[in-house]
Amino acid sequence: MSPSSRAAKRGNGDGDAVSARGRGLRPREIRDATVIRFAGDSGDGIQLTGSQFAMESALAGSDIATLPDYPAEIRAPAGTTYGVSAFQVHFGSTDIKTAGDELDVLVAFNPAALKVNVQDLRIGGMVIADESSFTDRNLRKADYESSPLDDDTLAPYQLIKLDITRLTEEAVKAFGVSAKEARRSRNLWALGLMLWMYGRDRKATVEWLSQKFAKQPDVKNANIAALNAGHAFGETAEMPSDVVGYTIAPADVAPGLYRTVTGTEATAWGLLAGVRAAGLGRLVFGSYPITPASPLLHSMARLADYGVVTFQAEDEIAAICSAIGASYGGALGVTSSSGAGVALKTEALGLAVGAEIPLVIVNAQRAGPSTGMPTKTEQADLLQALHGRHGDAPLAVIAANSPSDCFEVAMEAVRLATRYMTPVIMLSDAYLANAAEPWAIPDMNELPVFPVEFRGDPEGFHPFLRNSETLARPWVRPGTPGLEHRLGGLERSHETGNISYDPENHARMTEMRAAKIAGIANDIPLQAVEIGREGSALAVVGWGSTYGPIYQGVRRARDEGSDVSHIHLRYLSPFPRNLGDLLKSFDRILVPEMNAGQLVHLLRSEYILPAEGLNKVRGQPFKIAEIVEAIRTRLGE
Amino acid sequence: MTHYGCSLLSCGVIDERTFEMDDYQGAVARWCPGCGDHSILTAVQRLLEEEQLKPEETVFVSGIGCSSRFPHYLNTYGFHGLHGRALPVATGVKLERPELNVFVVMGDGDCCSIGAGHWIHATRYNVDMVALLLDNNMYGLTKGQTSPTTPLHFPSNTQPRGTYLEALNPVQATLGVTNASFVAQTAEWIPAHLYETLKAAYHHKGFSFVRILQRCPVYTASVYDEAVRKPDVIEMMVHDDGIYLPDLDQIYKQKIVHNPKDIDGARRLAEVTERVRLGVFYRNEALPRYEDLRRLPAHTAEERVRLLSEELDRYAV
Repeated sequence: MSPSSRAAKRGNGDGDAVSARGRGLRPREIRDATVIRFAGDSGDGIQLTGSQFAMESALAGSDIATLPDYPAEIRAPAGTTYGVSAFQVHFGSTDIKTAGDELDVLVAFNPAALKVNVQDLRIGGMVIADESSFTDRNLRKADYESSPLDDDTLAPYQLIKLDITRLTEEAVKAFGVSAKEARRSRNLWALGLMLWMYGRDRKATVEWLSQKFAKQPDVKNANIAALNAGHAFGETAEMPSDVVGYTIAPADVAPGLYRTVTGTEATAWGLLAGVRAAGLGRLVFGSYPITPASPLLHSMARLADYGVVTFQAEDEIAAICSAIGASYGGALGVTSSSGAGVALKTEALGLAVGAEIPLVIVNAQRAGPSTGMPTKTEQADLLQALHGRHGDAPLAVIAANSPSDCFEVAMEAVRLATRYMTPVIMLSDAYLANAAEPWAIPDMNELPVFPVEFRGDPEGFHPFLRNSETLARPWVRPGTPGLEHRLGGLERSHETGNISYDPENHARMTEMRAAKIAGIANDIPLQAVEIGREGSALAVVGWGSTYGPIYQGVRRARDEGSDVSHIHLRYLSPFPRNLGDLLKSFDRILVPEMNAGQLVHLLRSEYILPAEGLNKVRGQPFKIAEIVEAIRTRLGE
Repeated sequence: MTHYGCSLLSCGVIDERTFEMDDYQGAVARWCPGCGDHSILTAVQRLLEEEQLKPEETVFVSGIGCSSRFPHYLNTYGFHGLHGRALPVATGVKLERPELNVFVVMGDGDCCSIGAGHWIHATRYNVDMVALLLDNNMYGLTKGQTSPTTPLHFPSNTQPRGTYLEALNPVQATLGVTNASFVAQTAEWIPAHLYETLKAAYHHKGFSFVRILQRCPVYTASVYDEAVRKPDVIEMMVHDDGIYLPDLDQIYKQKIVHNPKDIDGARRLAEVTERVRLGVFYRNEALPRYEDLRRLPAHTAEERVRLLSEELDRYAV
């Protein structure tokens, strides 16, 4: 074992040597932020390694953002490029809003993992490779003709090749675990090394291992030994002389109780918090498994003690119809899916619009059309959400911009659905569903309340008697005497609530349904400018999960002197009422989207604006650099 | 909790109301003269009155088709949803409101064609509700297209030379589904039998599937002609635990004793023969009901604290 370093260039050149901490033999360098990606076979424990690293970083006070990237196959053939699983952690002392553009460090457990991920490593970045996995057989599977560890392939990077497998085996042999089990601990060895490199603690990981393997003491001890051995390897200077540890100062975050949260978890809790705020006894969640929306059903199923009834329906249609039935019964019905599944629900969505039923539909968008790339992110269902129905069937559409934002947006979806008696589509995506970030746990007493008033008075009642302010029809719980009524998909008389085929009435009801949704614009905040100013040379307008890269990109460009602003939309139907005037104040408008141009199309047609799209449909989030580059081009810089 | 429109029952007031047939009367039925649905509506209203079901605690859910207009003709709560989707809507109502009396009204296109997937799964869920299949062997509202239960060779607008396929047998299909708990067949032109069957279905705890043979005077008038005119074509399945109406003995002389507990016998009797068999094929109240399976005892305070700690530990930062 003689780790070699091939590349001379290292780091960003912004690290000043500082005195070593503790008994570290070499000084540590200071970094603001770093991006690490762990990559290996889907059976290598990559997601776990990455999550533990993120947790230790968060405990050390870093701001973090994570991005899991896993294959659609549960256990794809070992060593193949399509079986590669990866987990990216962006952490630092600065305001972290994305999982990071380029990697500073890639930990590759086999040739396939290197092959798939090395393109994302910045020039001069570090590759840590387990050389024992670079066998002829594995190289062939990854389509390498010769080992990239021994030729010039990795010349632009700093390569550290370590026999992690053998080092792990040595570390754990005292515990009598089999060679196979020993090999399974190598992710922890690598985790130990990375925790050393960034000066992170191992305590939480040791505790977690102790709990997880409480009933298998040998496995527990072997894993802890592997973790410690990786750490000691760095600490005792067995590393090449130009590899040093780093120090990352704690991030400056507001004090409070934090936890990590994925968009899926935040959505589940936001829906529940919304139902509590509405004063409803129950949330009935009808859903059917589909990637990447299924974890929401998993999260909701864990909330049975808090008034959530989950129904894993026989299909997407039954899922939404059961939610509609539950809302008719007086609960809040919620259903979730991803684009293809939402397509199956659209007939029922039309019913919910016509019958004016409160309903929340969560769409965790994925790359389409059809099955597309089920585990990859995209935001190409915006037009489906707005227009994907038969008939003139307007409804409210809102979108979350980060994992923690899903909480507020889910609550808002419940508020709009119950206040306006309408289906509300909440758009998230595969990235938001899986990505995690720290979340300041809100004080439940300070959350908004918006209690539902069920109608109880039979005097003058009919089911489409509208509230003069919101235009919402009354919500009646079956069981209320004197208010027996029938609902359904047939057109109703606006005056009596009875079935009506009258032409004037249909026109009136069509206008009424549209006016009700349009009126929501008076009940939502005016559109604000995220950073920058009204009337600047360029507005970058986004929606959904592109928030992080757009925010950072605009900030960077502004730091470099560009007159550019960031506007990010939560409300997509209806738009905030000042949006048109606001957008018209800018010289140019750029709309980055992970689709072929959907919001840009809406803005152009709604406001007759020369907005221009910046479109990325690669199943991956935007990089900050891509936004900065686009801004520079537009501003002729 | 917000104010729920409170039923008299939940308010603790003694409910002294009694309900007459008229109390259940909704809009005037607009089915064709001679349509079997009229007789079914009457039988249902009689059931509501006999059982004194409170209009506000009763919900009729339907799909789309002639028979699915049913909820509009009853002064109860009602939901007239989508073609084929009555069962999942009704399931949703029951998930929130297990205490309500829920009736589902479907046609043969609704239940056996576009909604067939829901039919299988609703049978398996065994949610406590009454599901009525008003089977006239044809799509009526869309003007005469072959349905899954149209008899072989019977002509329609879509298959003018006659239906190519053997008709689907809804009773046999339902009896084949895991967890089926109540399966019966009756005919709208025998009101006494229809009423008794509805009553048995209402009193069954679980998913009660009733296929009602229903005449359509416009498109399938001849299908049940023989069964109506020749009582010997009908074979009454009788049993003390099923349906037995001695008053009908004089007309319907063909009888077979069948114990509704006997699933093998039920499946045998459901096979197509020259006879039209009416009565309860199968009934089993011991089978698990979805709402009971999902209504788990609430966790104790200690258990909740433990679960909460586990939950928080999973994500501790």
